[in-house]
Amino acid sequence: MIPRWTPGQWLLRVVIVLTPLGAVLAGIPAGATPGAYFLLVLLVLAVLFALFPASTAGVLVLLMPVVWWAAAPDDPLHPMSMVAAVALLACHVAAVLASYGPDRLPLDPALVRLWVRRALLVLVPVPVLWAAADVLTGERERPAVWVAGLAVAGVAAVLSTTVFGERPQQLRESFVQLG
Amino acid sequence: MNLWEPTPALRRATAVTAVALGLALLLGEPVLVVLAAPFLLCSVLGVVHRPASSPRVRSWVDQATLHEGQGTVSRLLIDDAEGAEYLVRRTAPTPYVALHPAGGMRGTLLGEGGVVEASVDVSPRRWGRRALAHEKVALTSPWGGFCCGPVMVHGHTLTVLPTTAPFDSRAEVPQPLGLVGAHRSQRNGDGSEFSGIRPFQAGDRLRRINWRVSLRSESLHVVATRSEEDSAVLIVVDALAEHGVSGGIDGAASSLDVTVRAASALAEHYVRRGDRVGLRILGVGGESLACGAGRRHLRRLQWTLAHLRPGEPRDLSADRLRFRAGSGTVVIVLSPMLHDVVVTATAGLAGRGLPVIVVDTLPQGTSPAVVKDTDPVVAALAWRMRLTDRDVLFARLSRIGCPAVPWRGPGTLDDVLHRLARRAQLPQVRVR
Repeated sequence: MIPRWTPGQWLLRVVIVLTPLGAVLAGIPAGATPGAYFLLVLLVLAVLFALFPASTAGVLVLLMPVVWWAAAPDDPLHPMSMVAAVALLACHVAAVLASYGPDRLPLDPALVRLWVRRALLVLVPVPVLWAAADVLTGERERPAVWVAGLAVAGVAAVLSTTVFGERPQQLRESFVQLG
Repeated sequence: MNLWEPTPALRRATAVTAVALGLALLLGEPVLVVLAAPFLLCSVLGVVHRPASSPRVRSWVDQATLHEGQGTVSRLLIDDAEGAEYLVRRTAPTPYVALHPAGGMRGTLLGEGGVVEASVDVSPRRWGRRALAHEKVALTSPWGGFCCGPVMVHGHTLTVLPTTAPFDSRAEVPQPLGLVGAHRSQRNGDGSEFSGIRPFQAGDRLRRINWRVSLRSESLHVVATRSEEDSAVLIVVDALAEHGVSGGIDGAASSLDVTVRAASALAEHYVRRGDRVGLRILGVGGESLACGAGRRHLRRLQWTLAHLRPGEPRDLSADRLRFRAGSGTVVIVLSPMLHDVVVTATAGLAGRGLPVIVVDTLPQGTSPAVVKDTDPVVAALAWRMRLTDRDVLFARLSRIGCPAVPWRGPGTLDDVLHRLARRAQLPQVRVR
């Protein structure tokens, strides 16, 4: 049974399926070849994510390449890691766009343009961080690095608390419906 | 109370950020920070733009009453939409209502101050009351961080007046008995239609004197004219059953579609000519409108047609039907003539001496609705027998002075009205 999506939605789903695989395959120049089973599992999860872009499968689909990049390549800080970062963000943005409304909602070009600008904006720190990490690699460990890392982790923890800790008592019935 | 809750996208970005940074600290792998940085920014920006407003959705349609095939716009207004960036609305499909964009789904970026342009074009394709389905509206904050809804918004009800089928008639009604109108009366009086030349009588207008004839006959003669009067037309609509399947204004027409559209066309035609038009619906509601004239009355006629409820009332019998048709009223029965009560009532009206015309509204090629598991061959045979029976019925009605014509738009009634008018002018012998 083929979903009745609009061409724009089909494009988004294809991006969701292909970009995680692309993020992993980008590690080949860095000296790591992904196993077939790993790719198969990733593909199945990516298809699931493409079918249900608001599902939690997306977390696994994005985390699998991230973990793989930390574990598999001989040189994790290979320049291709930036390509992987772009691919993962493209997957996330495609899922965001796909989950704005029903599956058959036509893709709004203005919204796509907005998110492309946003994606380019959030990609700005990637080369900066990569360059910083590349420079610092091999040097003697500095306590400041760990302090900064802890600070970032703290921010992430605060964010997590903010997002997941609060459950607004939303009663949709209380929404004023006039008509 | 906050109506906004985190989106799956924000949860996903936050989870990826937290796990990746945690692993980065544990494993000491800076590449994880590089990979997580875009997600961290998405999460932070999503949370920073968390709205605190309490949006309220209002919707309305520009016109609640319109004709078949016309279009209106369903609009939305969001009150207190501070912090909302994107709106998605989805209108569920409604039978005989076309929506644009297709599927009734629309997403739009909100302008400054929550100005919404997410309108959906609505076009009813069939007469009647059309209740638009509920629709769902959802709002999303900047960076896709938080969403509000989807909330349900009640649909509006449209009153869809029947479209006016093309109709025109040049024939006059047989027995005009009103005051002032466009039809040539059987009586002489002040008018423009030549009747004859007769000797001058006291009270005749001097400008009516025909000098040529007067000089020749050596006595004053005047031109006599027919007075012009209006007429009463009663439209009887058979809504006891619907035969055939309606495809709306763009598709095939059922018998009820033809009936209602023809009734609307006839009513408009006669009202515009200045005649008084009445309506009697044979259906569940049994609506009835006394004869009246004018645009406002025409609107009432169309409104009544739009609200008719097809079906058979419980205590239906030809004896109980009251038509309130006065002497000289032209009765036009719009019916497929497949119900005995309608046939009996029509014959009864003709028996009262009223000019009655039956307009056959059964579309060509209509197939009957049959009970499930009925042998199609038997059903087809039964239907053919029923149609043959109907033809015999039409012949019998014609013999008692009640002609039947199929509805074919302009000129449908011309021939029968001419014949009825000629018959009305013949001397009649009435047995008391």
